[in-house]
Amino acid sequence: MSTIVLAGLHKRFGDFIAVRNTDLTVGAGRFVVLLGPSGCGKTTTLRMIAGLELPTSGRILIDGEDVTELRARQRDIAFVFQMFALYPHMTVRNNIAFPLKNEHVPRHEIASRVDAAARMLRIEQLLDRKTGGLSGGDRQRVALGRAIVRQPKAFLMDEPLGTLDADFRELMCLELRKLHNALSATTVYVTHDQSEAMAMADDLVVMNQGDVLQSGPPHEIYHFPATVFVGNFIGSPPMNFLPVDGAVAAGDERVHLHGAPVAVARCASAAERVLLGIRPEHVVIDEHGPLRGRVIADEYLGSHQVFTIETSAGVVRARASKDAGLAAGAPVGLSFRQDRTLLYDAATGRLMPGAHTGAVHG
Amino acid sequence: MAEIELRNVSKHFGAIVAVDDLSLDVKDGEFVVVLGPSGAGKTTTLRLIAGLEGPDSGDVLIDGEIATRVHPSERDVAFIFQQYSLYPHLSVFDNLAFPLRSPRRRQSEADVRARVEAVAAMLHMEAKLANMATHLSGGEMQRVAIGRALVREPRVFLMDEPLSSLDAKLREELRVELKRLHRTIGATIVYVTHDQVEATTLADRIAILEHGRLVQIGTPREVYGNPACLSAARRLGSPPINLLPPAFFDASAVPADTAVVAIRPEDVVLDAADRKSPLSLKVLEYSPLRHLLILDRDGTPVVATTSIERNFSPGQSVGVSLPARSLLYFRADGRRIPT
Repeated sequence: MSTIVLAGLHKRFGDFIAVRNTDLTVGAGRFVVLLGPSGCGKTTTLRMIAGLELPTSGRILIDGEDVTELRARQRDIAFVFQMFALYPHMTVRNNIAFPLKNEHVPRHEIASRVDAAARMLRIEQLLDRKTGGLSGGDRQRVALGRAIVRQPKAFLMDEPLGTLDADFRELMCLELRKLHNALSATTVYVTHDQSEAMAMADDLVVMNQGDVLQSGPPHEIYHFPATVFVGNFIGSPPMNFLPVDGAVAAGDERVHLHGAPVAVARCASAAERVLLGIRPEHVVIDEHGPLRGRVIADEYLGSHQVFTIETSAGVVRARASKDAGLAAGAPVGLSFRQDRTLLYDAATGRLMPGAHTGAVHG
Repeated sequence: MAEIELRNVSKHFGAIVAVDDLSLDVKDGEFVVVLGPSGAGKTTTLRLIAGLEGPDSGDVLIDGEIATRVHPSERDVAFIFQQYSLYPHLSVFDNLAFPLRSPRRRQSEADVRARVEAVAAMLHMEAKLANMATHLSGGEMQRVAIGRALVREPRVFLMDEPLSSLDAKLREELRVELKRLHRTIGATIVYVTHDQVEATTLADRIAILEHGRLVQIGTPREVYGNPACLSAARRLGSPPINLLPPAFFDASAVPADTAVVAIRPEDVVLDAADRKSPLSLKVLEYSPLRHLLILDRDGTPVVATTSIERNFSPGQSVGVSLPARSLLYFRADGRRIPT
């Protein structure tokens, strides 16, 4: 188990800044997921940790040791790629054993480590098969096995499930997480898929355009997004953002949305232009609700449904039970769960501190 | 626009039966989603409608006419694939205009321009018309591929997992757009997917296929709420439907021949802490983000979804009710027992 520290890590490709002055600590044994849209810098960050890319400036420390200038192979880190490259003419056993043979590990030690990894990944019955004929999921397990046997200081994974189909991805998510629980090895995992990230991460790091926007446990990021971008990027459907009438002052517990009074959690700062943020599951369809609107769309998802409601303050999405019967065009009232309302400074897009947001990190 | 009918269609590939005596009708302007696991015959069904495959037996009818002997190019259907194939050396405009410039169409360049611009507006691609196709994001490329089908104003759209190669965010965006598009143009669409969110949100009706056979067809609410058999019940639902042994229940309350009792996770009722419950289960896992509670009784997991934000910790006991009106009963062979 190792701790990875990134200090002022910066990477420029020509005029393009891929990663901007990033500070980040990956605690020993943590499963940390870097999440963001394509081009956000998550893969570049991972490649710098691996030693496949040299930073323009900044340092990388593993267990306190500065490894910034070390070659990839000297860092004792295992990298699992999206496109797993196995040797098709070799058996599963030899594929998994390959890195150990290269390091001249004694033969009996190789055998016991390969067996242990295969048991953990439940591919013992495949050990003597060639990898060429295996299914995508089994190939991915073999690739993981090859990383595990090395007993590295940390695992780095770049969208390792990206090529698998949706049902199977979900299953592999659970397996990877179980594997992590068993090994408790420090893991940095890159994905653009928020459900994957949410299901696996101890800590989530949300990136965009080279910047880390927020890091912390998934539930904290989900409930208290630090910026409008994070609230939009995480959540399906995303968080609602509605413009508030006029300025907001510290101590305010009520705002107006196009004239409709809405109770909010007490605000601890002030801003000229403000957005109210609320998750769809905290919007209540309520005939006495202050904000009036009309249903313009209904998405049925089996276990629940999502209504899209047009109001004078903007479009609002509300999550409702599968039994809620509202036809398109129906007039509705909306209220918001007061303890779940968030206020954002429209000028900066940043979350304004409030009575309930004391624990939020920037 | 058009109606489509499959009458007892079968298709073999060697010893493999891809489509087995399949009968299906798609009404004019209807959006039918064909859902099933890989190998269920979904894509073959689509290819049979398109005329890319011929049936071994049975008939494919388009607007009441037997299309089986009509060449694909004469069927006036547009096929959209998972892997959008655009002409990389052409601009977005020229990619969209391509089908209209076919010599058979003999459309004036002014008509072509007007049509391409109208479709680009529909897809919010006006600003990208001059871009080369290779300089687009994945979502934009798929939009152009859909646009190329739209310009032709075909009678039928056949779509084979058109969103599955896109990432989650884009998939959601394009899903909403497809639905809007269907409302605007009122086209007949047959859409193949294994994604249940696409199925329940897009479909007028869902057709569930398994082993080349039609298992059930109905509105999303019918198929989800009133599944005809166990495999249909398991095909929809995230998290999946709970399958419980009859021994969980009072024997007198369970119909004869019941092998499995099923209940949707959102129908499991979590009782208030102070109430005496018929069933007390141990918490295995709680995810407030996914509104998900995994419980356990004697090694059988019971999954509940709940919008209540309560603090559950692993190991604690929770009182649970499984209301009789939410229970579905199945025989050992998977058939539903009516109640």
